[in-house]
Amino acid sequence: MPTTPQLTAQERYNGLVFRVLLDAMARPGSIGRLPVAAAAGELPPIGDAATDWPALASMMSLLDQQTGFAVAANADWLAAEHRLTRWIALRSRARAAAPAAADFVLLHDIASLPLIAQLKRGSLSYPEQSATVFCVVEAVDGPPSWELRGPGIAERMPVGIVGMDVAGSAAILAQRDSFPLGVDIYFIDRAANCLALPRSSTISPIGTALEAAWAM
Amino acid sequence: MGYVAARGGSEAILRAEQLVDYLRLGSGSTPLQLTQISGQLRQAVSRAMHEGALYDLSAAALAVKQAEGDSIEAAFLLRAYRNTLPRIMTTLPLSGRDIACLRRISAAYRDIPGGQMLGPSQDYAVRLLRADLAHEDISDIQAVLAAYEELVAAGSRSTAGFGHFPKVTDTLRSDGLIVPPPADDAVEPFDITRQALSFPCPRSARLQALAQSDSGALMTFAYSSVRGYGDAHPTLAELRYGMLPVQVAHPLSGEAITIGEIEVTECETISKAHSVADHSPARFNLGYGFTFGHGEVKAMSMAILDSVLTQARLNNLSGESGPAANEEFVLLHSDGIEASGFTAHYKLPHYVTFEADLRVLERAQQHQAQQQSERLSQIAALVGEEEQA
Repeated sequence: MPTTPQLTAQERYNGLVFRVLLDAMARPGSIGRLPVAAAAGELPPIGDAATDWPALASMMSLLDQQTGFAVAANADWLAAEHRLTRWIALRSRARAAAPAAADFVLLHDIASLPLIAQLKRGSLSYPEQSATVFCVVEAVDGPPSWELRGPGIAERMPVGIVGMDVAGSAAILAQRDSFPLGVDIYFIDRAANCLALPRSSTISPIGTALEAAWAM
Repeated sequence: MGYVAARGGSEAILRAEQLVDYLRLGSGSTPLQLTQISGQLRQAVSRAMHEGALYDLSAAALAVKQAEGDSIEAAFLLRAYRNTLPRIMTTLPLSGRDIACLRRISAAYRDIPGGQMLGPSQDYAVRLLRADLAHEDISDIQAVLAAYEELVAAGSRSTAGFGHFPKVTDTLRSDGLIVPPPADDAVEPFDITRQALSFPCPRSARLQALAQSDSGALMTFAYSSVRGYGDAHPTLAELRYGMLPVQVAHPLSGEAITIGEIEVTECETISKAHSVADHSPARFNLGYGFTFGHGEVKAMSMAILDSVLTQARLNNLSGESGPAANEEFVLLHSDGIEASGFTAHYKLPHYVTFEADLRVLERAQQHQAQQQSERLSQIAALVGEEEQA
């Protein structure tokens, strides 16, 4: 006989993550707190470094059989045979896709940000058929180096991604010209805070640290 | 009287929801348990599942309860719920040949391989209200179970293959009486939940749309086609109701694994032979119908419409054989959620539209009044001239 439908812990986690991610993208630059994911068990590392679980878990909450994903670290894409890629594919039923076809992308460090140039940016008829990026960073509440303006922002929103470098900023800025095409990025730090940067936000520099990026 | 755009009150809206709960539970009757709904309102739960396009007995029972029995509302709840679910796997293609039948009949032949099995059906009952159902209690349950046990004891032991029958259409096909199956087997089925329907659409899209259509809509269109607004003359080759095993490919080994079974109704109809322009031998056409749960009228309507639409496509007679032969008309107006949603949306404020309509009506009335007074003054002028003359 059928039993009363109840949410599993995974379903509850997926729902909470979705809410946080949705709010973050709707209010660019605001900092959201992701819920704590259940322990991953044996999570395959990337090289010598442990895989960042909060970022991966939140990306996996969006994966299913109909989606493609890709993972990069140290400015290099993980092969489809990599243990982590297979670990993700087995549990989410998503397929490991070529970067140009991936719907969801995990960049394990800021050094991998320049790879976003390879990701799909949608089409004029279907701008939403683009990649969504999850980028692991040290912290999302550092001293502001960017100022955001645009939809979802009252006036301006200061943003400070700790560890953001010139190459990463340049990669993001280069995308601005192709609006409404582009990718949308979630920055997720070790403490499971998240900050979203949709393609619709214009970025201005604060201070001189990253000015070189604007010159590129 | 002034017409002003009104501000909705959130409080009023919340109260409206509360009042529904009051109507539902305020009489003080014992709250329905999901097992009561799924057990004793089997047809309502089936309808919620096939119109909601989600096979989940407990969610469907809950939807029927929450919707106070409104079938379209229950289907709507299940569609919304379905959209929140991740798509983990796709099953392997399933065949109706594997249904463990509880009911299996054919109207084409009296004797079919394996025989006719009437199974559970109200079809043969006299339509008189049974007053004894009004006050059932535990003794009625015991009486029904005891009667069933007597039947089981008196009957013969069922064999392992019980409930499994060959398809009537397989026999007809091997006798060369039905068109061969379509050739585009290698193509992935269209998914109308991922891509919008555009016409002409592949048959997989048509079948998927029909399978989740409103039962009443399909019934009406099928009825119109057989009653004269069309030329359908279907014969029921086979109707099956039973449990269908569901299989997926194992994620690591790839072998077929049975993960459970679902209650389904399947129908195949044959339509009379139509001459086709090319010189292939005359054959009957096949219509296919399928629902989750127990839905005989819907499965039959679906099969009739499938064969009407196939016929129309083959002979380019779309619309000329009645409205039901127009695929775009049928498929775009049969979805219960879309149709009821649009019809009901007229309850939403249309104040600005109506304001505009009022302005237009006012101008029309003024124009008429002006024309009237001009005509009167013209007549008056003529009369004045005559009098002077």
